[in-house]
Amino acid sequence: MLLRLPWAPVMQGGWFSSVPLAQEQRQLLAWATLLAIAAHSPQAPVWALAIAACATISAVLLPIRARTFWEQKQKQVQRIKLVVVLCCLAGVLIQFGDIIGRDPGSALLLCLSGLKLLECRRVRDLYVGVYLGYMLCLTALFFNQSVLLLLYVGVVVVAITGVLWHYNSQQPGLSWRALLRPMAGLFLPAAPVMILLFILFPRVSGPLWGLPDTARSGLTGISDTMEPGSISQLVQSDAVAFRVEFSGEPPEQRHLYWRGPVMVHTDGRKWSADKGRYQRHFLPEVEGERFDYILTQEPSDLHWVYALEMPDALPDATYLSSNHELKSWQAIRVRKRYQLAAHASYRMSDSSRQLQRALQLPEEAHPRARQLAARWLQEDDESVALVQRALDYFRTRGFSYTLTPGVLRGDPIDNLLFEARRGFCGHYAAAFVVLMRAAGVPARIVTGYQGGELNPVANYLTIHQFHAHAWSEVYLDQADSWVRVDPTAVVAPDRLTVNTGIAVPEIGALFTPPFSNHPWASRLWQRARNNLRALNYRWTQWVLSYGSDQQFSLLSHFGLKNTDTIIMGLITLCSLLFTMALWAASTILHYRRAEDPVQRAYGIFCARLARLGVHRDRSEAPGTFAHRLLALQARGWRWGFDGAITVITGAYVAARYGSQNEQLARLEEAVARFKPARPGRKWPRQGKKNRAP
Amino acid sequence: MPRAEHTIILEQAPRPGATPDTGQWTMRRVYILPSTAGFCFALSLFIMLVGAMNYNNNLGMALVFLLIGVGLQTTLQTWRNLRGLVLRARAPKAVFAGQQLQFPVQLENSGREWRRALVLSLAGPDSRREYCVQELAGGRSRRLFLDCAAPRRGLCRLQRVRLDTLFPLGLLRAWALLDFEVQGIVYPRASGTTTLPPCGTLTGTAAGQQQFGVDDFAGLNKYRPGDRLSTIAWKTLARGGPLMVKHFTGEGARSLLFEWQHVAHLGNTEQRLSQLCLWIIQASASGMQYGLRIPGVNISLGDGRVHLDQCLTALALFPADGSGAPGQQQTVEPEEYRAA
Repeated sequence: MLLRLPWAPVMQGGWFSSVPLAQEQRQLLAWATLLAIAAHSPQAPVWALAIAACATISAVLLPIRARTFWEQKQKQVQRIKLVVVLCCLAGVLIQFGDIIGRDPGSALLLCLSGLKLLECRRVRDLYVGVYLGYMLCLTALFFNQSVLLLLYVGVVVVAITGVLWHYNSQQPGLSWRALLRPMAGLFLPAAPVMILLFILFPRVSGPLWGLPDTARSGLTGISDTMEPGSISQLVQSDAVAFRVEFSGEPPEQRHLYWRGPVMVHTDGRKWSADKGRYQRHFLPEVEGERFDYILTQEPSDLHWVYALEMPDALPDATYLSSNHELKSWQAIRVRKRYQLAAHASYRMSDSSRQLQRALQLPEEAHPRARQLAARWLQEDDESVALVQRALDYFRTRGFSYTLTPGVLRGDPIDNLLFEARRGFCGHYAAAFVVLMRAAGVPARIVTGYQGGELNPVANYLTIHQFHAHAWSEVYLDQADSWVRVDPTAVVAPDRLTVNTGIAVPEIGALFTPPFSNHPWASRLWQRARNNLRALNYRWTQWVLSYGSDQQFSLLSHFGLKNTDTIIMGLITLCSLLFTMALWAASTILHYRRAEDPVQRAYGIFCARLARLGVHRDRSEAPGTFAHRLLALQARGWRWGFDGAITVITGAYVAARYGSQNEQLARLEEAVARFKPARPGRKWPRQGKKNRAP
Repeated sequence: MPRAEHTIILEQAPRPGATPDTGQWTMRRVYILPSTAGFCFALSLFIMLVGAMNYNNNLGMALVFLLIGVGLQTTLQTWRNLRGLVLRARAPKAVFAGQQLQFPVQLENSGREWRRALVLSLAGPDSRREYCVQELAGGRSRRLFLDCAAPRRGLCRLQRVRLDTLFPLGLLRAWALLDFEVQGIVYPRASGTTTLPPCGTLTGTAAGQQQFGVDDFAGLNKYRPGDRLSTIAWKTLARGGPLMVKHFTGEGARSLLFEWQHVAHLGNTEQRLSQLCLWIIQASASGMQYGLRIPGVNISLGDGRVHLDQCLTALALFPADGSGAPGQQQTVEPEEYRAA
């Protein structure tokens, strides 16, 4: 069969070239493109949106005469187009400083697809416009992946495809509603293919080429350095850092310490984490209760995985750093899922070199803190006693926990300890570590998150940026282990058991839920919000973060283990072919032959009469039936249309036994108009008429 | 073997009872390949897929997969748009050389689904004309007349017909090539001198036969079945009289028998045939009786539409070499073509 394929005629024909486009097709395309442009309205630069929208609307509204005038002045228009495109390029360059990348690329696409409509004259332009529309839909999804946008984009894609259908079906007129059925016929069968491909299509973890910087601009989160006040900036954001779902009961709120960057080095003001990739070969010894959980981390562009203290195993592509941080080998630039387990008690021993580093203090910094520590050291040099001394100091000397400690003048630690006595978690952790180091106890700052917001509907924890926290760790000789000490817990005990918002009034004011004056409305709002967030969480879990891991675990249910990309690709291809074969088979098996249109029209006529109780006997010829009907009419039956019976029967007989084509139209028209009234409505007349003849 | 009617069914073996009752039918395959627009669609989907993979954007990938699904579905729908169509071509009315033969081709939708945007065209390199059928509801049929140039006399076969469709999205082109085995008759071009040859009356050759003329009214005869309508005495009938037939006679009552020797002086066979054609048309138009005797063909005197067609067909089918070897010529009876 392949040999018989006549290849030559395929590329022949002018469909995709220079056939001019009708006005209504142009308009339809412009409307669909406008819908696609609207999908970009939340994030695109205003000027790009304006250019695209203006060009599109003028493509719709510009009267044909004006357009033909434009088309006559080809040369001038060419020049104007060039200038406008250059302006767009310049705008993108000024705004983003780049042309390639997600943000500048989509802004440029927006402008160009709008402008393309102005020169949409031929069929080729229509197709180009349609493909640009599809790409606009895709780039809109790069910025926002919510369910709402997806639904909207779905509508836009259907509309754009409708433009193609409208052109190719050669339908006159412009009707969106007429497109609904054919679009359902195209998209409903396509949905299973989409699901199949979505599940089976081999995923590449990580980007194919380097993500441009703009793709991760505007990410907030804990950074690898800490200055006084850096965390208090962070807690003003309610962005989601990560989400956690425990397989069993979650631990108590006050035990939820999500370990992030560990700061060992300080210059007296700024603390910083280790930059290198120093890998530790032994995990901490763990014991006690085990908590299994799945952590879904939002992109942070950093390496830290905020595991609950303390993990007992390493997920794939991660390592434990020299400071006991769980880090990903690659920066987390896309949403990732980690399967983890934590143990409440653990022992982290360390090398003497590391402990030596944890005693580092800049020369001549914090003189008063050093004095205080030296005094304590003289009284008792046991490290446990020193820790207790310091915590007592924070508890008893009137320290307060606040987001706005004011400017710490001079030496920040001395100022906090002896003068201001107001600070946030970062301040207290730093002050505590300085005191410990001055007293000769190895200590370090741990930043991360503390607590989490429980969603009762889906039973998962959301850790927002406002859960950011800093605490400290000291190395106790007796235990031969690093031990967590949280000085903030001493200053503000509420901080660990309730949300940050309540412990710090300033933050509470930032995130006050609406309707807080009406208890029932507030409760209702809470519940609605929880449900919506639970839905969003499931959506994120199962759709947005579906990757190769889930794919493998799903396929292992079907006995396919350790499948590589090529085999996955083959499976995908086979299943696609199978779907196609299924479709084709259903078409062939369910090929419905047409009924004779003449018979059908006459059948409708008979059915309408049968509804009134006048049935045609199966042995009754059309003529005989008509005679009977006329006899009934003579006795006063009202059909509503005089002479309809004669016309219909005559046309039926002529069409059935004569030339069909001419009579069929007459028959169908007569049948369409023949709507005999129900006896209930027009019956009363019958009595009078009955006696007349 | 040429046929008066030929039916082609696309990709659909007819069930018993659904076989066309007249003529011959053949099944034809439907081919389908992506159009240029379809290749561009695939290319843009590929670009979109790479972009979505680069940003690990699952929704973007889902969008691409949805469009892939649409692309696959449109393959099926394009194929389905042609499948089960029944095309029936018939022999056209005969024309003179230089005119256009109009082959009636009927498209019939044997399924219930609508067919849209069907394009018929002649596959020849010079014919650019497209015959579009915008829509065809289930069970309906549409008749088109395909123009086919007939430059030379003889039998003209319908060229290969292409049936194309790009429906529904223009991403794929499905087509079928239809070789209808129907032929049209092309009479010779009528040309030459208008003076009829001096072939005169047939008194000598057919003595004793009743002579019919057109010039002089000779009286009324009783109607016998077979008499021509034009000779019926309508006035008599209108007066309430019996059905009578007018009877003409006279010296000018000429019956013409066109013979090969009358045109022997002309240069070649085609010119001779053209001259004969012109005379036959003239004779027919003036209501004379005429006959034709050329090598291999012997048509006796007669008149009327059927007789005219018979004579002209004989001219059309006359062998080009002019030899007129008997046995070669009248293998096909002209009546057979007019069966349609």
